[in-house]
Amino acid sequence: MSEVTIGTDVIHRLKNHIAIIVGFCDLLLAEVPEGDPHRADIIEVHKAARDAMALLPEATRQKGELS
Amino acid sequence: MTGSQSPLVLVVDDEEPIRQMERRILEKDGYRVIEAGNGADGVAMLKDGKTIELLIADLDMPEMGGEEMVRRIRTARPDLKVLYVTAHIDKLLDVRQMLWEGEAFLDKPFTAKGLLEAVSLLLYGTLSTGKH
Repeated sequence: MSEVTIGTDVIHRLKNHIAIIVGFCDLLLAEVPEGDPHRADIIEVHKAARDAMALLPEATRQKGELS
Repeated sequence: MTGSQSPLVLVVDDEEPIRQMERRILEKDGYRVIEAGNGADGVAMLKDGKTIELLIADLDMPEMGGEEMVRRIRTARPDLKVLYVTAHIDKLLDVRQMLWEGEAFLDKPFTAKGLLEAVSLLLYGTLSTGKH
């Protein structure tokens, strides 16, 4: 596996950005009705943000292993 | 709780979009929300007599973080529920080996459901969400 060196501060900032994306997507998905053409786009953004969120523990762990 | 009014929640975070997001999620679920953009303003709002039942505090803020903010008002508000929202739970555990009763933490990033469940657990002792 290639080395991943993400600084603690960068991880912290990434978590904040992802929190904002996920949170606002959650809000939009609760407000945009089924059948709205924008709903599929929001779901894609939401999925990508959730996937990024799932990667964070791994990035944090690799940072810990390397430091 | 304060009569029939829904609980008043104070959100303290130096990141404006995070405050806005938390406010919208909580208001949508029926809570009343006020905001502060730094720890000093948060302490002032807690001391000014408002019946704030829950504080949502960012741990990592310039000048005064969430943990210090809570230490400053804990004597005056021993009953205050506190939800620490943080991307660095280890920082909290560095200064405090365990959380006090009525305190919890929520790891960033979190979902709307995760935030509402954490708030509900602190205020009502259950995971249920809905209008309050």
